[in-house]
Amino acid sequence: MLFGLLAFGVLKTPAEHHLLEEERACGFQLAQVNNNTRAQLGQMGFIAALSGFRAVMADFLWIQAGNSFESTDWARLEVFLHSATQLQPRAVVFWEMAHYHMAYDAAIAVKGDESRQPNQALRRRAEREFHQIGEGFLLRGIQFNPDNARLYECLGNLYKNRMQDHLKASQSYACSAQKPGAMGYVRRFAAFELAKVPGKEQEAYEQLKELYLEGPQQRVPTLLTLLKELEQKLAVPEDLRVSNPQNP
Amino acid sequence: MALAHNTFLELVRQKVFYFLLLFALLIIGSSLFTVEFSFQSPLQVLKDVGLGAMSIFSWLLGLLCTAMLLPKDIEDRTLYTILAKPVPRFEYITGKLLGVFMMIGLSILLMSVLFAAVLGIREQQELAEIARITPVEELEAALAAVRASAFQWNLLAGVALIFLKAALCSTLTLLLSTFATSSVFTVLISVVVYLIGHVQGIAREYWLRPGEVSLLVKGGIAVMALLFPDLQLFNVVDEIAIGTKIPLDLFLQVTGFGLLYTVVYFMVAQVVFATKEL
Amino acid sequence: MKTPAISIKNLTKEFSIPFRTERLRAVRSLSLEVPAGEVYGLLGPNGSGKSTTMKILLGLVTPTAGSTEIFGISSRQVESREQVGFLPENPYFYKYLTGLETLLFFGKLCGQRGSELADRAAELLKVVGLESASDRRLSGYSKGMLQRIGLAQALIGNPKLLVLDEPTAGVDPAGSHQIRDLIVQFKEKGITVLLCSHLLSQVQEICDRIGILNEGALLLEGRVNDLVSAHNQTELLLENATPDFLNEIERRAAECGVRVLDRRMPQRDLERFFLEVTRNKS
Ligand SMILES: Nc1ncnc2c1ncn2[C@@H]1O[C@H](COP(=O)(O)OP(=O)(O)O)[C@@H](O)[C@H]1O
Ligand SMILES: [Mg+2]
Repeated sequence: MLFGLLAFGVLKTPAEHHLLEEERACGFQLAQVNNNTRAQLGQMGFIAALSGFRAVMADFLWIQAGNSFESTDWARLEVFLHSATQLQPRAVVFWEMAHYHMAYDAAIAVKGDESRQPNQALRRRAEREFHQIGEGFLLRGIQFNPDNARLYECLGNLYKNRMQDHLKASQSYACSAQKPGAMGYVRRFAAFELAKVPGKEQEAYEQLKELYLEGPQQRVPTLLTLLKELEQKLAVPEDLRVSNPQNP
Repeated sequence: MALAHNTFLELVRQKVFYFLLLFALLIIGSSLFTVEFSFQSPLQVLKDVGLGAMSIFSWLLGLLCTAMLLPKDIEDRTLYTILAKPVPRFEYITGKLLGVFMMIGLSILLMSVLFAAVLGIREQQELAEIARITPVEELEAALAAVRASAFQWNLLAGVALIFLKAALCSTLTLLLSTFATSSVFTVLISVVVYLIGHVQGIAREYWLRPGEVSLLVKGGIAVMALLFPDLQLFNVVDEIAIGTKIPLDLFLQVTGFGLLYTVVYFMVAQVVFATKEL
Repeated sequence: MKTPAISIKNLTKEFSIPFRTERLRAVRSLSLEVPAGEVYGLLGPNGSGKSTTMKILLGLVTPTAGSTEIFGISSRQVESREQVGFLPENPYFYKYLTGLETLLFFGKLCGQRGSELADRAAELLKVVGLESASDRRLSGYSKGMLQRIGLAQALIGNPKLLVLDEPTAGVDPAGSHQIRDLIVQFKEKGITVLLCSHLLSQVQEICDRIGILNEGALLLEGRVNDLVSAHNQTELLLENATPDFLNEIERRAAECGVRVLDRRMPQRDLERFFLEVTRNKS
């Protein structure tokens, strides 16, 4: 009897493993319930997370994160955000909010908080650190949700507005544009950012032109202005300029 | 089938059933209040709590009911009266198990209906609230977002797997109770197996990792992994609840796996029971 | 020759005792036959293997050696149970069912359906005198009522053989009397009965034959009258006899060579007295 069960086990275990891999490929079973979770949730919470209450435990950690946010305890906030996203890595909102709390809320707060850190250089460093933490959240979120347009868009915004890395910003927007459900403007943003990268003007110009030729829905004022600027900068011949009303 | 029907009746008339159901209702009801604390989609916590509770309760209900069925029949000697009728033992076990399945099915159905109703009500409230505060041009998108975060038919696949997991665990409990001597023992072992079943995936990875682990531990893990199913495979409803789609063939594979396991445990239980001294 | 209702051949049953190597022999090469239509009483002290024998007969316990048959079908086969009704020792049914539901449930297990079953259940409830309690859950039944619903349950499949394990244990004299009357009725209908009981007076009243078991072995078997009556003794029961008259009889007896063993006032049977008192009350 026992041997029969063991024999069945020998057959089923590889199948189980295979099935698990397949589920992972479809976006399931990606949560990491590990010692970190156990430290955050305690023994009971850990068991609950393992056996059917994982999403609830993630929500619980999320609420705890909310409390740390209100008390502006950034280090604690990061820990909770980290655990919550580990438990529910398919929740895009978690990643988005986590990065926002770090790269924007926390970064801005430490930058202006003279009472805690009088040295400005150190304050700037702390700010940059929080930018990187936020970036880390987005990058991991993208790993777990590779098809999500929103996370790439956030990443683009972060590089553009906070980290002043226009090349990466452009690449992120471009990635976002390729995902289902992407916003209409991210392709334009990719081109706008590319134009800010020294040496990439020609490439940026090609992209903007392509967008322009797609039709009036792409011809927003920023695009038109930028197109004109680049045509001048790159000295595009008059008869090839798209901004020239005589050209079709 | 008279036995299945009777087992079902027995369970329905047990107080424990109402108690657990009440508890489930309480949890789902209380999740109405937790939504206010979260920073995320207001319906998400409700969904998470509701589905988590459904998963745990269906399992627990199946476990407790199954664990007491056989010992109770043996202790009260009703088993003698039943088996003294022209009823094969095979049929007796089958009837008991089907009765438990019916009961789990009914409670999941009740929980789902209640859950869907609460979710629906909350959704309407949310929609009304959004319609009030959102500017007209963004309204359509905002409303669609709320609708998407509410009930999706996809959830039913997750709920079906919750049922399957509970059914599988009940069958295992039945198997345990065919050779266990007391229902307390059966319940304890079942709970342990349930936990083992949920760390199987982690254990397998641990096992595959070279070095680090002693041979003895490795052997222990291997036996556990061979004897018990990986129950984590059935926990997909959380992901479905945040919008991950489950492809049909994956769903069918998991279902097939669950059914296969249920059948194997069922057959072992049959063999053990057929040769049991009463 | 007609197939006997029950045939037990060289039956032995050993139970293994936990944590001990030696085994407990509950039944030792028991052989027994009960022809159809007979009421057979199995007697013996507690632990002598009566219940075990019955369980083996019904296929609830597997014998270590030997075989049992019911109307020629081995107990190992499910079909052998189609002709039997069994009332276990201290039966307990599903408390959450009513009397009627219990009978319907067991009837379904016997493969009966529909209005035929409903009629049969109603009839049996009447036979065992539980019509008024048919809609009450068994949790509210007394011991005697449980025993009677147990009898009804045993009868639901129209069995040709009834196996009753201590049908009157724990039942008050009135109830016990009722059960006794029922058994006599079954016998008149041609149903074979195998029963065991501690109430020897009852066994004596209703059984055709008895067997006495001790430590799993059959000590003795035979017709009740043959076993208990002393053929060379006679009891006289006289009313209003004066002492002189009695002395006269004893003297005459001595003359004829008859020995008078005992002379006493007849004891009033306490059971009968109890029954009379309770009956007059109600
Ligand atoms: N399932 C069992 N396991 C071990 N011993 C048992 C079992 N059933 C009965 N026995 C033993 O078998 C003997 C006969 O029991 P039983 O048939 O119930 O006697 P009776 O009915 O005549 O009182 C007793 O000594 C009892 O302890
Ligand atoms: Mg007995």
